[in-house]
Amino acid sequence: MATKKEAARVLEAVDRKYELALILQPELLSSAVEKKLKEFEAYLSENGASVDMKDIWGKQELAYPIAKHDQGIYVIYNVTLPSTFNKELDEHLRIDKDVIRFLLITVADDYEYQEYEEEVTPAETEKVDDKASKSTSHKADDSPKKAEVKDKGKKADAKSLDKKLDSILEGDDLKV
Amino acid sequence: MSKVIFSTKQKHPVGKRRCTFCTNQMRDIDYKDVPTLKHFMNGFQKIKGRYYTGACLSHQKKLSKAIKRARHLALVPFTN
Repeated sequence: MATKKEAARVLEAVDRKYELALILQPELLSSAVEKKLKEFEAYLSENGASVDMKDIWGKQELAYPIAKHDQGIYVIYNVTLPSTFNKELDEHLRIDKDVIRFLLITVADDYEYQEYEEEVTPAETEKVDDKASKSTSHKADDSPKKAEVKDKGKKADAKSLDKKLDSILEGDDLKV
Repeated sequence: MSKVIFSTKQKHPVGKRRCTFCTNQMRDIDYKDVPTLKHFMNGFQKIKGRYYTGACLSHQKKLSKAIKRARHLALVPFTN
């Protein structure tokens, strides 16, 4: 029994690298977010954790609504925690009302944080360009053509229309 | 890192296909890397099978795990 307990104690002492992603309520102001994160970091340091990296993505659209929120403030931490502190941290974050979602995962020791930018696919840009060019070209091309057509029609029908008008004006139908 | 072009169309027969992650020496797949994850998702936002992605077994498992993590954090939708 003693050996097992000793083994457990040895396991308790291990520090591991973790990555923690938080989604905060979108209604929090920037000052409130800073205050919140400061408090959270203080809570971490109380329990023997150290913050290696912190990245605030800011407000983003969620892919689906979480707790009736369509947006969320994303914050990502790289931390080293004692491995026994996990469950307590989970509990702490679950109870917190300002944290909508969180994800705590282990990470390799030589892990380096990378930022990923959203790709703008070339097809989309081409489409947009095509649409723009088409729309402009259509407008540029069509308007004079239509005008010409209208003019032709007017010119062609002008004499006959004049005659008709004269006949109508001279006729007795209007005087009634 | 240079841009990696992912193609999930079947150009080669089954025997001659190579995993795109192995050829580009990507050891891990990150859940924050949404643009690459989207290459391996369906029109219905489902995870594509290994027959279509051409990934090796270990990388396919890492890929599915990354997509599930991204779904949990609402970076990627569950369904369309």
